[in-house]
Amino acid sequence: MAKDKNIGKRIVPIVPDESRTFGMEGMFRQLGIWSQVGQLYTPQDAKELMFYKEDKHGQILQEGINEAGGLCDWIAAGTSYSTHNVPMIPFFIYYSMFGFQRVGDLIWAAADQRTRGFLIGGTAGRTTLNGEGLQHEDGHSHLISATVPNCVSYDPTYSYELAVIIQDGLRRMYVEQEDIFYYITVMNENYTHPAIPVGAEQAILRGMYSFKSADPAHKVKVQLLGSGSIFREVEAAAELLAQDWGIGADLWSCPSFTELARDGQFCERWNRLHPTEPAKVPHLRACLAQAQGPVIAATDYNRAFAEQIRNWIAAPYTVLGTDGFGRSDTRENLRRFFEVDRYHVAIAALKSLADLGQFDAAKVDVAIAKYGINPDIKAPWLT
Amino acid sequence: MKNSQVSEITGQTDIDPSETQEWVEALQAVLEQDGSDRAHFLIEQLVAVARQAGFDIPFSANTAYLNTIPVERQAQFPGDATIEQRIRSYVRWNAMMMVLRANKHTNVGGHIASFASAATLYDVGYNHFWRAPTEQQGADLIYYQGHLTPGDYARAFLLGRFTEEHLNNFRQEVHGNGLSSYPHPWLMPDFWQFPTVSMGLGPIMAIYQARFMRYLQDRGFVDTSNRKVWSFVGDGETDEPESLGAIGMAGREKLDNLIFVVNCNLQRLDGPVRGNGKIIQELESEFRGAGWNVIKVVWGARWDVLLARDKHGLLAARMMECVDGDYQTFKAKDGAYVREHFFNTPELKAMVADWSDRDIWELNRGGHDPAKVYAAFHAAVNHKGQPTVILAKTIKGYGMGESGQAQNITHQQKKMSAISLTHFRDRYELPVTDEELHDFPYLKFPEGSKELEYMRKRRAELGGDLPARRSKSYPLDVPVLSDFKPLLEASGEGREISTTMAFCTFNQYLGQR
Repeated sequence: MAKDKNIGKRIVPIVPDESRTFGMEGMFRQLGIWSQVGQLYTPQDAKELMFYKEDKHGQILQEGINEAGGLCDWIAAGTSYSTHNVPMIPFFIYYSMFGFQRVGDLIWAAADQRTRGFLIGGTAGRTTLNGEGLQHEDGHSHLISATVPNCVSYDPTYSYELAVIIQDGLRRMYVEQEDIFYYITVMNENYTHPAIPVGAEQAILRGMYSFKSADPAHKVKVQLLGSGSIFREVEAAAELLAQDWGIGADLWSCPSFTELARDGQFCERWNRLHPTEPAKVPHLRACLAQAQGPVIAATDYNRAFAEQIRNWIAAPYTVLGTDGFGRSDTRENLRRFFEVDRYHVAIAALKSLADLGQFDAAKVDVAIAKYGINPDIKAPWLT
Repeated sequence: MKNSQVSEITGQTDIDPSETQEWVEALQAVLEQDGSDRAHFLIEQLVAVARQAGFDIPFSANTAYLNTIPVERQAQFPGDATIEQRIRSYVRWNAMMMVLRANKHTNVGGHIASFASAATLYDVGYNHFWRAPTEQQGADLIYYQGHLTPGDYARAFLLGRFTEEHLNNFRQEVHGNGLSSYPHPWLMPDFWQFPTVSMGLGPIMAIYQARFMRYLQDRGFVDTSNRKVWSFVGDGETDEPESLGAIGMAGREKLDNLIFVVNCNLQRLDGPVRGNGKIIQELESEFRGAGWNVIKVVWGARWDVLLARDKHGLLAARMMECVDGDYQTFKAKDGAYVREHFFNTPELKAMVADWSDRDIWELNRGGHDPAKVYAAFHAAVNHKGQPTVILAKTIKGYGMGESGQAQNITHQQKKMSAISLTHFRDRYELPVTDEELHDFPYLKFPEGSKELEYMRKRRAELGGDLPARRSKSYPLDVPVLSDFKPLLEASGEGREISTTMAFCTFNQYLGQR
């Protein structure tokens, strides 16, 4: 069968009127917005480099403020391999809050009809999308995406994670022709990105890889897990623990708690039904096999998101998350409010160590005071 | 023509009936001499002059409660009506048997009444319109109405695509060789293409499918210009906001490759769709306002003779006046009831004075008349520049008799009384003995029978079996990871970016390949 050397033209970018929000307006000029009649008017910004270009041969589907329509475009393009024998590669890029929550029934129908493509949940994360408030700040789309059996979800932190995930998605859906689709959240928080750790590709895809190991000089250690932009708070917590308390932290980036949990469930089931055969070991358990100390996870999502993996962690496991209604404020204030900032991660680590007798509980109180945390305010999900 | 009417649009009464009469006669003369196109032109001219003079003349999107296509413009039905009737009777029977069998020993449920209302709509599509893919032609894409699956399975069984075991396993899928409740490609990947349940999703997905076919065409991927998208929708289903939510886009984009067929059986799950109104009229104005070509198939051919005699518009006026709740009740009663309650004035009663109650009872609805349905489908596939909606008036539980026809309980009905079953068998003249009835037997046309030959020939001419789904396409040559090298490297000191920006960069690299 004919192999197509040029997959670029098969990309179908679909936007529900949020390209400028996501800083993607450059595509308008570069790819053109498809219109059956072309452009019958002079656009206001015609003289600018990146003008609003409608074109009969345009590539972008611009649906206006219309997630249901964008999702239907995405279904039509993502099933084109079947209905038209023309594989197309749709990317539907939308506010993550208005996907699984708003048009979840269409996503379920998309999964049923074996749609292949990418859903990109933009400006995700309950505290990372900070100013837009209660109706916008998504802290649970990953919980819903986990319920769709053939949806593969990721919450990456760094650009190399994103590249590895999308490239493998292209391979699985367009070379192997697996009937799966991808849900990937991306954020609008700016930071510097490191180079990919050597040999991390497969572990990234499986949902967890060693990002940085603790300084061997530290005798007492914790394991810190995180995803998305909150993983950077977790990194900062590792520094606090080392500097302020002399505690070492192994850092694990977890681009997919959902894939980790599915792998764990798969192994658990297989082992249960094959009691006399050598047990399968989930990726998560293999990662933590030699790890020392309690495990702490923090994400920009409800606790239930990282709770998914508890069953396969032998050590004490503490999960921080953003349960509750979002609200407008700075990222710093929101992360403090939802108790997912570096200080709360550090406190969680110290308390876990204290429970194990490896740290003085009275010093946890000291740490709480030192980091300016009021222990008696209401839980965020109650306010 | 009644001159004392109050105008629906202006709310004014007629202050000069004789002047009105002159205008009406002038128009009638034009109609007789130059036809309806000329008359339409003149009316549009008059409206344009009035608007220029500053009058506010609102648009009326409704027409009379009559068939859109007049008898003289109906495309000729090309099929063998007798054979098709027999095929349809077998399909109806088997569809009903599947549900009855499945619910004899299990509680898996199923729906008899919905397909009973749509059997003719489907049969005309399968026999005369819906094309399967061949070397020469791309396939039409049919969004089958979710609750009608027993009809699709029953037809596939007659054509040998399913065995009795499959039919016996309706809604029992766990052990294999089962048939899914509704169209689910995940569960029947070689058969179903589009999940049309939950309700409302079929219509909106069909609209975007039709437009995406234009996209593929414009971008040079594949010729989709001769292919159609058909979406079968229940009238109750139109209450889901998704059902009508995108019809404006279809009108704006002039999707003449798109055909909606709304099966207006007037009933939803709990009761009438619009007991106090008329769903067909409501949908007509919504679709026409959205720029669609609207074809109403309200009345079957048996009404034609009465309507031809209706020189003063009394029957048409009664048809418009009567509400759906009554139309439903009529079909749950009998001919005497209809004579009493529909033909409710001396003038109307006189029209059917020499008709028996049985004749009156057999006055049929458009959606159950293959010739009317064929004419509507024919007009729809040939219409240019607009999407088409066919509003077909039908009867829920058609033929189920006292076990369900037009009854409020009918949607949930998955059992039939022995007497109803006997009536059904007799009515459709099916070769089942009284003893066999209790076993819920399936019927099949033997090899070499003219019915089986007919079914096969019709499908062969249209390209093959439907529904059918392609599971694999050709693989693509996708980039390797090193093609995205800059994203794998450190962003560099002080160069801060977001993952959204990284995604845009990734897409740029992808676009360049």
